[in-house]
Amino acid sequence: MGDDDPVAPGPLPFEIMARFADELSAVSTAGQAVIDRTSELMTARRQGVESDLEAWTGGHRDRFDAQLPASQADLSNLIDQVQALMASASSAVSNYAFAPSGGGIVV
Amino acid sequence: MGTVSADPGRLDAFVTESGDRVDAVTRATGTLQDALDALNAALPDGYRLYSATVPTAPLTRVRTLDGGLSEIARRFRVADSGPGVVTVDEGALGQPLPVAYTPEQRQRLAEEAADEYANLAEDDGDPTTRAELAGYLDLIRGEIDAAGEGLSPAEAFEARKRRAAELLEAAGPRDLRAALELIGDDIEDGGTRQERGESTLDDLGIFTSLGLEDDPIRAQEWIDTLEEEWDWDGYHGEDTERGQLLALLATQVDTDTRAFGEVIFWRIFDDPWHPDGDNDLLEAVAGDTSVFTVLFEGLSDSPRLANAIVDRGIGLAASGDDGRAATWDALLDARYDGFENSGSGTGDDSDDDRYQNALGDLLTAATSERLLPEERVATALGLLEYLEDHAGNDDHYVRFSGPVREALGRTIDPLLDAWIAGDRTTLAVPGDPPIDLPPEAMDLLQRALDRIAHDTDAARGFTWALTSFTEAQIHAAVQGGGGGDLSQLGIVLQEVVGETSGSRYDALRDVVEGGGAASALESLFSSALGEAPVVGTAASAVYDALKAYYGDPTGGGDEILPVNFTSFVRTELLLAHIEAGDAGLSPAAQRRLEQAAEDGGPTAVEDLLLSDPDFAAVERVIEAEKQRIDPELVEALDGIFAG
Repeated sequence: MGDDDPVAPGPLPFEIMARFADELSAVSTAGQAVIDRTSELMTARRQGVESDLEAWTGGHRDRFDAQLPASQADLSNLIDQVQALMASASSAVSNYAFAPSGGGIVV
Repeated sequence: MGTVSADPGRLDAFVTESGDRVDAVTRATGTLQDALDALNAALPDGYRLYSATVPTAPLTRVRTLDGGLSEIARRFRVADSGPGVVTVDEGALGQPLPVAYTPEQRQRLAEEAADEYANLAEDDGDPTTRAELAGYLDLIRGEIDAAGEGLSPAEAFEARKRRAAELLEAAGPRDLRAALELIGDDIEDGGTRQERGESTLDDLGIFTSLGLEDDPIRAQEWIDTLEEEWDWDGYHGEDTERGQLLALLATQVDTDTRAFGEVIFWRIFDDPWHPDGDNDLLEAVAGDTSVFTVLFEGLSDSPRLANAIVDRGIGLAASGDDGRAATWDALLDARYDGFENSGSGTGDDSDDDRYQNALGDLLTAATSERLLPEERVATALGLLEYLEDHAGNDDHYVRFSGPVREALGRTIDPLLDAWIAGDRTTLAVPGDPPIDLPPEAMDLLQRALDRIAHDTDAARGFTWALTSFTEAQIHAAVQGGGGGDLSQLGIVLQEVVGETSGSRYDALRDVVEGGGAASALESLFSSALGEAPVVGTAASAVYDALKAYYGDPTGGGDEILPVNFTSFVRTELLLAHIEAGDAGLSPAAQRRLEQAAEDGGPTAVEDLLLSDPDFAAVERVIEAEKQRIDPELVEALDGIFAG
């Protein structure tokens, strides 16, 4: 294990576990909000800009630093990353809660 | 040239109208970050999330688009200040599209451009402009790339080199210097990427590196000439700028070449400039960081060059050249302080992280799969030996940063085939005779695996190496078969079994989802991830391998094995419990669970969950899991719980 990786001290009282569950719920709600708002934004951009941009630039859209409206791949990537964050948060709770004394489970 | 028209106000409207949505995303991102921070704060001392930073890349792209739209609107307004829809030349918005030349036209134009380039240093009263240089190099680059069209990659590389060498034949180092100075002027003047001359730098890097690739002596002579004619000793004034331009050029070489980039690298390595010189040009292109960060980031796309540099670097220790060996050692040290000695002088943590990540990428590239097997093996062994020689005990080992230790994990990839096959003396190469391994190879690998088993960073790198395993190899590894002692590998696999998130999780998921995914890993890791709670035969094999290594885990011996396996099962139970709680588990039932945990620990909790009708929902989940678990493993796990 690296320098920064601690060792779990022992079983977790359930009252703390419940608090973690609340915090985890907040992370989940906020994560979904990011995904939803970003999806709305990207949809609006694609609908509003993509066809006009080609005309405005006389077919030279690629000559500009202006990127295309953020793509579906961007959104998928964001969703993956936010879900990984939520999974990491979930793992933090579950690993801690069941780490037996001296178990060496690292969050 | 045609014209286009638009209402500049309408372009601006998109930016304005979307402002609310951008704000909404920004606010949501902030809320998620707050929630993650709160969760982190709720964790006891010593615990932290693997990753707790909300990604913002898509939002950044949207903002970039806003900036672009505003700029287009501005150009329309500049062209016509009147209201409503205005018309401008395409040229006001972008450069004309390239003309489609016939092959004969393209060839003739490229040769004329090469003649102009070869006269660049001779100012005959009609000096070449930046735009002309960009045009020459664009024509030359088009001709070089066309030479490789329709050929296999190896044939295309040869054809492109040949054509570049022909076009570069009449040029010399002073022409290169003149070109660099023109590009330097462009970069200093700022503007867009195009206006900053970066695409011209890219064309120049491809042209020069391909043209000199088969003549390394000429490449060396060019750099020697520049060194003699510039005030290179410590770099002063304009010569610091030239050094920066050379460093940038080295990052733009053709990614299959090595000769030209190598001579530039070692020239800069031997005489990095002093920090009092402003790194304006580097900063404009690559951000405020050190020259070695820029070099390593650029070279990590060029495996042959990275391989040559790392090979020579690790060879310095044995060369008797103590000064250069010390410089190389310093570059690999986690405490490398190049940001005060040769770079921006900022010396902050983000610079340091960026440098170490670039270094890790360079070391990884040096054993890339794009290299020949013998090149990969030789460099991997050299690197392992270097790191072991300089690591000494564990205290010294951590002198290497996380990215470097991760690279170590990746580096062993080419050696694992020999390890898994059980033949420690040769490495099989499909279609070619096997490569003889030196006697110390397996000892070095064993020591590296030992490091990996106790180092999260190195294990993360090793996980990438797993992606090249075949299913049979994985089975051999986890079963401890394959003709050798694979217990070390079992430890590493044991470590990754406990992984449920973070970059190793991502790597494991890649393994699972990849085309060659081994069913063994799939069941093993998906069980660890909790996405498909199945513990199949592969997990049984891991269990057997680990049991063989640690002894019977139920016998009260080493605790590591049961902790990892049972913690997985218990984690599943916990999640089931949380779900049951959300479904309306009574306060009394929760109190009983808490009491059971205090009195009898996880085993008592499990007993309660399984036996009490209050927890029927949890029981159903657990039973459903057991239906999917291999019977032999159920027996083994029951033994662990009973113990």
